Amino acid sequence: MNTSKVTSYHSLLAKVFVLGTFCSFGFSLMAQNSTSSPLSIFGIGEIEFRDFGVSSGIGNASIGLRTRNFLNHRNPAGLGGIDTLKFIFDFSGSVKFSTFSTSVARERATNFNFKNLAAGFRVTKRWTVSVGLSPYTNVGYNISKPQEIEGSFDRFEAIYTGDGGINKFYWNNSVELLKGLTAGISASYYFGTITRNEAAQSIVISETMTANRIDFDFGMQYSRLFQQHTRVTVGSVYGYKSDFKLYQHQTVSNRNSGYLLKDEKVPDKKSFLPESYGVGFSVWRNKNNAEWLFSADYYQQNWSVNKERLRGIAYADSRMYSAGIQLTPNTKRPGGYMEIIRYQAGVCYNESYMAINGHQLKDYSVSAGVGLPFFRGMSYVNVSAIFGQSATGFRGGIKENYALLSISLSLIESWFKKAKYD
Amino acid sequence: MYFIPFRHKTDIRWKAACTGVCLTFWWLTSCDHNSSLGNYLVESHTRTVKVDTFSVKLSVLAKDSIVTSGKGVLFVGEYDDPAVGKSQAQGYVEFIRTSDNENNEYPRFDSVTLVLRTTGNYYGDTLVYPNVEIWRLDKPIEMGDDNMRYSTSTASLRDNLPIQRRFKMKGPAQQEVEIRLANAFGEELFWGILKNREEMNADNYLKTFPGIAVVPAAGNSCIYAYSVTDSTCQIRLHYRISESGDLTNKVMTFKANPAKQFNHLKTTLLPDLPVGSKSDPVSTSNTRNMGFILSGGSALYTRLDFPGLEHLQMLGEIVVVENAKLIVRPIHHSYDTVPLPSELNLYQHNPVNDERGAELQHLAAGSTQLTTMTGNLNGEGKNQNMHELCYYDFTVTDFVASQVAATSEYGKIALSIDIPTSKGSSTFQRLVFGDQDFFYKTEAQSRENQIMLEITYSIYNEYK
Repeated sequence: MNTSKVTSYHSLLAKVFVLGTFCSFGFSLMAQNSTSSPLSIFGIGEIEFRDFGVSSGIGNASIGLRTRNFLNHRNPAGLGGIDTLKFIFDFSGSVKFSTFSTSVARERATNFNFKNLAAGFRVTKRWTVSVGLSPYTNVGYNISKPQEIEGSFDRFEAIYTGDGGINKFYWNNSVELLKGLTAGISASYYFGTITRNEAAQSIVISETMTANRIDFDFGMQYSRLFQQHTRVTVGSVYGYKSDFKLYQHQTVSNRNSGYLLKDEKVPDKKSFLPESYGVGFSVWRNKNNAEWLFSADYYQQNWSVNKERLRGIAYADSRMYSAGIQLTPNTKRPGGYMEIIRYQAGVCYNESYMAINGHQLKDYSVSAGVGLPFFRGMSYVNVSAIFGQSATGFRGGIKENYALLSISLSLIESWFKKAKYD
Repeated sequence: MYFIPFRHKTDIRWKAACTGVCLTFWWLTSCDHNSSLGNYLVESHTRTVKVDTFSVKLSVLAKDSIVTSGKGVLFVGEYDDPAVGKSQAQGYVEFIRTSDNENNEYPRFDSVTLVLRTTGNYYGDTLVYPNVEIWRLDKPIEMGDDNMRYSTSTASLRDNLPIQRRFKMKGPAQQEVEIRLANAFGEELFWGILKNREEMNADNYLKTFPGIAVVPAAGNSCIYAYSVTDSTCQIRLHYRISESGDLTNKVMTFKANPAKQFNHLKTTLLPDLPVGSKSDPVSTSNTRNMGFILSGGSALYTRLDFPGLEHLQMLGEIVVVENAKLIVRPIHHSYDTVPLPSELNLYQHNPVNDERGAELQHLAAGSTQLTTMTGNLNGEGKNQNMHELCYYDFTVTDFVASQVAATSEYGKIALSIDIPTSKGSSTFQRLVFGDQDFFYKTEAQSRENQIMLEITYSIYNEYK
């Protein structure tokens, strides 16, 4: 057997192994995904508005972002910047330390969560794709509430728990229409199960909601280079309102005896993915090997047409304003490793899709991050710390102070590079 | 070469290994940590209610008789119980000759005594000393075809040798008493055995001394229980022998034979206390609204019926019995002189009016198979005679759940409440408790004397 053929054969095997590893771990991580927020009891769960990975350190501002080694999850058109020969793997996770408080109680929570798994590459000169898996909503709560036993002075603790969430498997495509102008389409398959339980004395009521829906989003980007060292990119995204059903099932059981007292399908729950749109821009500048990047976004989702309410919680239109900068002191590494690190900082202000007692939940956060190159600058470990507060502002409401550590691994591999001599 | 491991740090396999390690770390550390805040966001779909006014219907029944042989206890005495009636007990015991090694030619009879030891169980007023007559039996005790004797059984007495003693008792605590018997009886026994030693086999011995009956004489106000074992119940024949010119005291011991011992028990119930049989129970509306438990004598017990429990099912789509408790409260001052049983048992009532033998086994077997629940005497006053605070409570959750789910009369079960079977025929105990119509001075005090069924249940999807 020809030596070069053997080598390429095993290289292919190794690549398949890597892909298989990603996929299998991705699905198992989905099952482990969790959140810890009492507010995730509402609707289809807590909707993740952040990006994880490269853009988390710059405040999630990525609608107008297009770089060579970046899988843009927010705007599919942003994939157009990927190098022709590169194959990029992204894996992101987070650790969130939260302190929830009301006027009468305070509680801490720590969550380890998987956030994103994606791979992307340029298929043709004009067409770039990425596929990935990420949580769309998370449900995770464990609420105990004292309940009276009528006819006595006794009480017991009723326990309400929820877990699961809706996940998104997406296929992003970017096509270069004209020089610098790319259009993107994202096909997403939403799936997952949300389980809610109520355990009051012996009776345990368990309800599951299962999602199963394909949906599309669109994006555009235009990028232009000025004076060979400054690139300006503007972008926009749009998603149409899309109805989808949640298939519901309910069981009632006696936890003491173990008997199943009721097991039936209940009417489907109607929900939808809201109309969404956003605009953003970025300015990239590389002069004398020092690289600067500034990016800013506005993104809105029209949730308020959903009239579902839960004890004072209602949907509201969400708006996110974000901006961030990134600096790489010297991309050619003349002065050592510290100079090729990407340093990031960002701010983000998000008006949540939830309004509690008429007050919209607002989230303020600042972020700082670094991109640590390895494998001779071919890949990065991105670490960012985000500090923020999420609150409604009305007395008695839940307030969350958090510190979020995001870690992502971007493996960039030259899979399609043909060696002259192998 | 195939698969040369990690030729270079940029080797794709090395990257894959790093990735795998990172992913494994995340997978291992991902876990749930949930918050308990936000209880204003949740609202229960169930309702939990505690109700203590469920109906319990009582009826009083009497057992024809109970087995009294082989119980290791001798009941003797009389007590006129103002709540129940007059009870009388007398016991019969056979003795085994155990020591007869003397071959002295000049023995001299001295005296004869009966040694008894109380068990601590009593029924009545212990302030009056017991007064008993001790009779020699006319013939050996014979067991019935079923090898048992009952509370109705008797034995004939040799009426020419009554021996009567009133003896001191130091309260109800366990104690040994030694009763001097008539010398004429002792000498007859002593010389009868010594003179006919060669012919004195077991049969001849029993003909000479078939045993004794201990019966109450006049003036008793209490029934005592005496232990019948070979060490606690004895007849001791004291005599002397001459050894080298000196007189030496000797004892010939006759030990009780627990297998050949039984009691005759009888209770003459008060005229206003009609009791029924298993097939024809008498409601407590005819017994002054009181339920009775009496071991020994007429052996009273009380049947409990729970009408209407099935109606709980109609409150909602799903009704679950969380907890059910039956509380039995002794009537105030009903146990001033009679100690309360330390525990009671609930049995599944067997409605079939069996043959006599089967009915006697009712509590032992027939009614204990499905439901045997024990309720201990509780309350702060149980040791201090504070009448208001004594009660027995039984956890009857499973039973009530089965009755709530009973869809037909066939599935309905009644319970019986009684002294535990193991103690029913070896102790004399009595309990009087009120039914749900029992009145005691005021409504509030009446409730403290009434039986109560307390059920906590949860309803899902309650019917409006």
